[in-house]
Amino acid sequence: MPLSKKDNFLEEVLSYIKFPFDRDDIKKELENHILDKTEFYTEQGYDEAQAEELSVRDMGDAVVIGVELNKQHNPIIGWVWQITNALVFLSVICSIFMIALPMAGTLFSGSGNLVDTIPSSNIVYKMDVNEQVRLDDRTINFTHLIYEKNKNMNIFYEHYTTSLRGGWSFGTIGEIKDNLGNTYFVGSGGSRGGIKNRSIRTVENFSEEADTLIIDYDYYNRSYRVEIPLPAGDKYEQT
Amino acid sequence: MSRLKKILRNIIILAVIFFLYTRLFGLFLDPLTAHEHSERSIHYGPSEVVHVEDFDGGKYILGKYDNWVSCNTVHRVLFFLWRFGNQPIGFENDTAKAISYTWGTSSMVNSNQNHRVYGIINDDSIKKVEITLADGEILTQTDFYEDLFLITWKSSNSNDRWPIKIIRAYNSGNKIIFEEEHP
Amino acid sequence: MKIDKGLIGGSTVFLLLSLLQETDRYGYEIIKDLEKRSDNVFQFKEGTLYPVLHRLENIGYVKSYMAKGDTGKERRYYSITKKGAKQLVEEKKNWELFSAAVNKVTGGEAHAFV
Repeated sequence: MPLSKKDNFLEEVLSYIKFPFDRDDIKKELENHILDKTEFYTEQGYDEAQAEELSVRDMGDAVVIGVELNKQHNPIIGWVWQITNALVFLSVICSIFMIALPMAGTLFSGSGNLVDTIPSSNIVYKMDVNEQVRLDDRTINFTHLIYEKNKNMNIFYEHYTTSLRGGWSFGTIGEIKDNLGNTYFVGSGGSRGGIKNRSIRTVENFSEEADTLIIDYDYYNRSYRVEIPLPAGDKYEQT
Repeated sequence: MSRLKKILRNIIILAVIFFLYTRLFGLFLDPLTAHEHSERSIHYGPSEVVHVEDFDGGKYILGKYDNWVSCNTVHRVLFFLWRFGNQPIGFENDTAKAISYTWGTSSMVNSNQNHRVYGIINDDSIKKVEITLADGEILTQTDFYEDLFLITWKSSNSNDRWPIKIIRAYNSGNKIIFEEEHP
Repeated sequence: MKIDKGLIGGSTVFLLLSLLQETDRYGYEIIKDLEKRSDNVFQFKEGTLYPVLHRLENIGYVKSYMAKGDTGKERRYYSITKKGAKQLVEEKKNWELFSAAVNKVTGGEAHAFV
């Protein structure tokens, strides 16, 4: 079946529209106009075919209309717009998976306190500590000490850096000593990530007689010294 | 909003996201900034950069900080971004030795290893440093970077031991001032 | 009587913005209203309206949206923007200056080359 006058007209106009994504909207807009005019003519008594022919004639020159419309639908702008839209969409999706979700995950990792990982039946004493030091962009806050029956001294601290970039993991907190002149070797450690990183360092065989824990950091012209008085000799049960 | 405005808005959004991504992945727009952040983040430095040299996929950054000497690396990512390489902490200069030095290796995606030997020349009568590689090849350097030297080469063997057999330092009369072997 | 297209060409934007300021309209409505209100003085090829409307949207004088009319048919409606309203004021001023000047030139005292 040959194309109607209307479809011929529309096809001709659209052939001048270089940006493919706009063709559908343009087609619908012009088609609706022709249909409205066709209705107008049929109400006046013309038959379908005549009404359509008159309506298409009233639209004007398909070439002129097509060329002028194309000027308003610049394909270069159109493609750049589509491409940047796609890039934004992709990167937002990626960001949700790569940034927002992991961040939400670590923000909530604070629950499940590191401090609670030591069973209370092992604890000789647990102390709240509030000592803060700075190293370059990093702020370190010593928060708790837990001394165990097996003479493990656990040092809890949290740290965060004001530099918003990822960087090297925070390594040693310094030498662990006591007031009696002992230096201890850090046996184990661990940490939980997040914006505020929570960590633990454990030294073994910490002297029961020591009344001060000393954390002595002195590397590469940066230093701090934290002295924490201990309840030596007071062996009490943690409630 | 016109399409042009939408394009501009999209570009701004993409720029912000790009900025966030570089922050997240530790990516930098230039190698020296990556180097400085690498040092600061590990609480070392800031070193005085004495010499920068290209290698396969990155740059060597030879520097001094106090009595430490380092040769940090930064790696190129995606043509125009940079990230940290190895740990940037330097070694302490043993001033008792005529030259105090160490070695390093950066391996990239292919099996090629990029080796470097670098250090500080404590005896200023030394005019030439020479190393002998495991396969017998000899590399020398006479143009030093202030009092630091850096000799680099590529090879395809990958072991953790010293990649050089012998290091020698000569004075202007070509007499050996210092020699050390690494069997 | 049909006006030469060139004459209304310059005032097309003025006419369109003025109609749209009254109320939002779709293309066919605009053509109908132009003909009706001008007592058929303004008649032109209907399809050529759309490049003008799309251009006005690109400039930012109008905005378009899809909506269902009374008959339930979905059509593209155009509405005037703030920028368009400002431009309308400008156009009105220009029109008044222009028509006053025409009146002055063609009416009033006799002139040398009569």
